[in-house]
Amino acid sequence: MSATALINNVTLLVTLCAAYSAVSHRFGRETPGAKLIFGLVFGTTAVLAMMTSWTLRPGVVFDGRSVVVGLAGAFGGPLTGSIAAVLACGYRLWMGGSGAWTGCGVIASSAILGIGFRVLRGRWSALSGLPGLFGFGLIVHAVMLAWMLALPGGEGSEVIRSVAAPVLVALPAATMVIGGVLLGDERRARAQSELTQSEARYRAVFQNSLDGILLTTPDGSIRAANPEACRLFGRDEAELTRVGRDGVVDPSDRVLATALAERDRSGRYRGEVRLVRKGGTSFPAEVSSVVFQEPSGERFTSMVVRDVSERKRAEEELRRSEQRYRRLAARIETLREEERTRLSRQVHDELGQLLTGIKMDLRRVEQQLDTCADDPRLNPAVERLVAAGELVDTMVATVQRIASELRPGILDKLGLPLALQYEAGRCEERYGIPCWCIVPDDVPALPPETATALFRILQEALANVARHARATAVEIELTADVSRVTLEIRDNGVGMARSDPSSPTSLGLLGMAERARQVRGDLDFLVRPGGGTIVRVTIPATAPPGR
Amino acid sequence: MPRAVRDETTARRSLRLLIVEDSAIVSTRLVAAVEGFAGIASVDVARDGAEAQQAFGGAGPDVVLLDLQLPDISGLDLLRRYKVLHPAGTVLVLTSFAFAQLRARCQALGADGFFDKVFEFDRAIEVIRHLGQAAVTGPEGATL
Repeated sequence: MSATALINNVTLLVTLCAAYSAVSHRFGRETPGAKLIFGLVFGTTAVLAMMTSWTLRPGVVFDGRSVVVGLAGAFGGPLTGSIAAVLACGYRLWMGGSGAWTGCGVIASSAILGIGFRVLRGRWSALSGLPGLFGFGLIVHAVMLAWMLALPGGEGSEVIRSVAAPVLVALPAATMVIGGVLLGDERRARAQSELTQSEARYRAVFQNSLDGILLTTPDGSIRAANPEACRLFGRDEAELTRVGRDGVVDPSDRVLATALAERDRSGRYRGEVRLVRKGGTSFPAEVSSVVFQEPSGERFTSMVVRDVSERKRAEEELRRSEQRYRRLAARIETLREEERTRLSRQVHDELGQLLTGIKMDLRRVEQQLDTCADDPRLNPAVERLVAAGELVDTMVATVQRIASELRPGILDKLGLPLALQYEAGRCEERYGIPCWCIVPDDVPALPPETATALFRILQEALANVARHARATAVEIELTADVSRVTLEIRDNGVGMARSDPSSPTSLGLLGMAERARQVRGDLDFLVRPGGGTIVRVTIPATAPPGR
Repeated sequence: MPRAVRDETTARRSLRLLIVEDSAIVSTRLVAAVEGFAGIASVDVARDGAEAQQAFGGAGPDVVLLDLQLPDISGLDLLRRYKVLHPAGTVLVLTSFAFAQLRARCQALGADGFFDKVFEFDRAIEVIRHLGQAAVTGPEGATL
């Protein structure tokens, strides 16, 4: 091969690379139009290569067409390969000579091998490298040499001997080099396409997010805003970019400084801040913000904003509703307590005193009759009298029990400590659980609401112990100082199980907690180290009732 | 204050009894029960804490039969005040809530007797009878 032909062919192949790259940038790579243009470019290149061919003997020429057409199939696929092959064949036939048909065979086989190579490298990525390309070139040109045997006149073997070495070294090497350039271009194009697709996906997320998203910088400027952010703030993106962070935050919101400090410190923040729409109306927003660094080194911050006005309104409504029901429950409880107090007093004071009076009268008559004990006729009367006295005793005991169950008079008349001790005694009688009550000698007088709350909590706690705890002992301890009074009910039972919040036990516990809350107290359920439960209620000693 | 019984002539030395009880039904019967006891010079009735405190003034009663449940103040407070004013006086507590801790509390405050209003009132009356007798004849003449 002459030096001029070699230089010409190299120039042609480099031009081919440039043209391939230009077409793929302009038209993409996979469209039918692009493939058609590739076919024309490769075909034209093959034709130009044949124009500067090296004539071995009249009618037998060598050039770079096999390389070009092979690469057309390998990089452009069937359409590109076919067009390039047809153009090259047409020109070769026009050139004529004894090797014309053999030359066409070389062109066809190169195109087919190229298309095959394309399929194979789709399956095995290892083929997409310089060694793979060299191997491909080797096969194309080995087949080319085989075609030489088809030359008319039996001159094939002589031709092979004279060109085998350059054909099996130079042309595969050319295939490898040009293929390498095309491969690099293909990879760049694919990476570019993936990047474009990826960016499109992220942009779609940004554009279609139901939360407002701002791309900002740590110093407070806004670089980009999505449509939802624009809608939230009532400003377009350009306007947001102009006003920056200062234009969208509520300067009176004290959380803001904390939020920014937190983000500076930890690189992230999530919480609620107040933001401002165009026109100055502010709204509560849930904001999450993260500081990140671009590959360029520049620091950015993202700010995802969600308007929580509706949720806040709903929460506020729920809170108000809860307060209303709490007040209602407290009111009902107060009325119930007043009713119990009234009934207890009526039963105890009116019925109880009447019965006491009757009992005293019966006793007096009995004593008077004792002075006439000698008269046996009186015996039946005395017996009836004693029986009536016993009936009255039973009635008195019943009346006292009913009154105490409604509300022990002790609580109002003698104070909480003695009422607790009395209730401890009743607990022992009623449930059979020994109950120790420790109260200080000197407890400051408590507001009636506080005393009532503590007493009722004790009753509920004792009932719970009796029902569920399987305890064998209970301690009740009241401690008080000037600021607070604390009541503890400790049992040695099996502890409290977490139960269904709507179960009677849970409602009982809720009732206890509510009673404590109404007098601004706290109720805690603690696990006792040795087993059992501690119910602890702490109430400010002088608190006005929470109602 | 209703004055139930006054007999200035019966005794060489006699006791003034105060019954603190808000129920007229009960106090009337208590007064009737102690009526005519030797050594009881007078029996007064106080219907609430205020009347009782008024009666504690001056020489005050020698014996107080005290109900703990009063409409205005706690009977325990009344017991404490009486004992401060008249340490040598006798207080007999008569209550519907006769349980051990209350008995201990009353004793700690200086009560001399503690009785269930329904089941033990006649024992309280008996104690008053003995106190009256002792006032007339000296301690050796009466036994509690």
